Amino acid sequence: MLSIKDLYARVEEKEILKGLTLDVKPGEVHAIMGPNGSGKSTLTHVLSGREGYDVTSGEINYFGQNLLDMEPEERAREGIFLAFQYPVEIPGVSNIQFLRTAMNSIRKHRGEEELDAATFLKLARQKIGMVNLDPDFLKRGVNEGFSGGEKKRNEILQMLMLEPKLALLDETDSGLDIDALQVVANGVNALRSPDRAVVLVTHYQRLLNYIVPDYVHVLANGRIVKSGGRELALELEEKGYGWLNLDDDKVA
Amino acid sequence: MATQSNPYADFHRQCVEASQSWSEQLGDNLRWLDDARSEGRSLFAGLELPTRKTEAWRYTPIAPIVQGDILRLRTTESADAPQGITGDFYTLTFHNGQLAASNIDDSALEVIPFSSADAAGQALIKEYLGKTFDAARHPFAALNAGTLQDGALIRVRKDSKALKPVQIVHTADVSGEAASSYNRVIVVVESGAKLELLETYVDTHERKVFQNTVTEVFLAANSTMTHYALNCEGANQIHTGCVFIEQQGGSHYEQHAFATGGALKRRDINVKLLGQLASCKLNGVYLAGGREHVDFHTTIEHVAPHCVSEETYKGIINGKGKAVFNGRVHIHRDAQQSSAAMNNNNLLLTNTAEVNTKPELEIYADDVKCAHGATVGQLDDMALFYFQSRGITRSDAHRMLSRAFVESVMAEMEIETAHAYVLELAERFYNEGAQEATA
Repeated sequence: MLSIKDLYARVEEKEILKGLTLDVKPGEVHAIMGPNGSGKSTLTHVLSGREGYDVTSGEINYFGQNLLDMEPEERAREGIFLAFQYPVEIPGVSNIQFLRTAMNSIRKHRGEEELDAATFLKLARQKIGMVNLDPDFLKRGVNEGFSGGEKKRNEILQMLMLEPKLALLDETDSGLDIDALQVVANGVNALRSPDRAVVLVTHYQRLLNYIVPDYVHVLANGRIVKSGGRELALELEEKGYGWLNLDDDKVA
Repeated sequence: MATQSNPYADFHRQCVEASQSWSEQLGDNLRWLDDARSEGRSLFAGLELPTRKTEAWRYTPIAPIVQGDILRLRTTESADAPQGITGDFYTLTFHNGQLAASNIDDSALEVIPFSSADAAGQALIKEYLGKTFDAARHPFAALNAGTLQDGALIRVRKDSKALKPVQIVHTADVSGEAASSYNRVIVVVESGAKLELLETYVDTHERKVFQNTVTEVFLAANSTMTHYALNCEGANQIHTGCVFIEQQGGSHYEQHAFATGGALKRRDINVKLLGQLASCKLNGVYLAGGREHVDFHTTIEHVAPHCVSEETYKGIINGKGKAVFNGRVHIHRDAQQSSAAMNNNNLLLTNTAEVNTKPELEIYADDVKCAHGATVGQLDDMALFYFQSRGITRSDAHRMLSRAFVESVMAEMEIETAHAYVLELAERFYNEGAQEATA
């Protein structure tokens, strides 16, 4: 589904990704861990097409297409979803309006009919129950005045509605209490299926107690320096990153 | 005669001359206004036209008026004038500055057109005409006084309310030479009475038209008025409009202003809170693109104690458009326990868009509550990306964010047909903005 080869990317002249290679197949869950500044968030932003992230060499192939040729909205329509680390507040645009426009853009792209207001509302009410948010949140401005935890739940709600093929979670677990963490994990687990994949970026092992990954990768200095199974995360938690002898540049 | 050519001075002189000669061409039915007109003319003749050095006009050069070749009245009528808003209203239409039609028939209302006023009507009009403002401080209101073509007085009888809102449409022919029109509207709402009034200034498309209007509003004790001032003229048009409102105790005035751009559009809104417990609320939305220019100058005078004023203006500026907002709140010495809140928010869609916003507070009482805020911002890149990451194109995101910016103010227009009418104009503006931004 997703194949990243020897990727180099920079933000404002600063090279962040330096030869990253990663393969993600349908049905898999990959956890990416690593010290601050190693390039984890950059990777998710490059994948979702954020402006200002320049790929200088390497390639990203997504279902046989060159991902780097696609606009961010095309990537979303082709099934890529990024759960933001810091979801954006958009006063004046209601959650429901936002979701419906998003969903119908994607459905239209797939050649499906747009959902009418009633069908959409029914679906939204059902999914919002899964993330333990009051249905009133649908009427509020997107993320407007939401607490940190509510914002993250709202990201998961969007993910459940849009049913992506490839979900990227950028530190969705940071700052969450146990209840919210479980909601996020349940959302991701509900989405798991043989034809979908999840890449989750996290600092902490604890999320992986709820979402059991197939692979754990350590990202350092812009490259994946070690990959393993779930036990790698436990090892990292116990020993930190020091034992990996992260060579060349210093780790911030 | 001046030997040195100064276009402003020349234009000023031409205005006075035009006013004189137009006055002579007026029909017998308007002769009774001669005195008022000549008084206005001499006042205007004694004023200087505002320049960049005039503080109240610093950001709004009047060059489009001076150079517009607009000193021409159009008295012929053609059938191609655009209409106002279609809805369940009484409608009164000024066409090329002359009262063309009225279908007002309501026992709560008395409507007296200047051009068909009988002796009693003339006396009533004279009782109110020009009483709300000092012409020396409002050059274009002075011009209006000197060049007055036609007008109407609307009176709402004590403790009553019309069955429908009243719409006054200001329209003109869509083809022909540039021309100007000068109208006056006088509104008298007697004590305990209620009025919903729409003043709709419509787009005359390609044609250059200068509309100069003055609306004088007298709200007696405990009366209520909701006033829609919808400036929907197009990019070639020029408008200077003044609204003067005098409020007695316990009265409430609410204005919903909407303005798309024009070559020059200047609105002066002046409220005097003269009686205790009077309140006013001014809402405004302005949208300027291309090379359009919109200017809102508001003045609220808290003269009596225990009055409340609230104003919220929001603007979106695109292309090389320019907007000006100047909000003055003057709290007089005896106006204790006044409460005044003013907000102005602007969204600039391009690097070439410009806005000048200035709150002016003059407070002479010591026990008052005043708040003001002004912001100027751009669309947030991160917000645009957030939309895109959910499959929404950048241009759709642009449209939704623009709409969201003014939504809270627009939504307060309770007359649904009027709300829908301006929403459609606004949508056109958002589309242009989205196209430009993603081109």
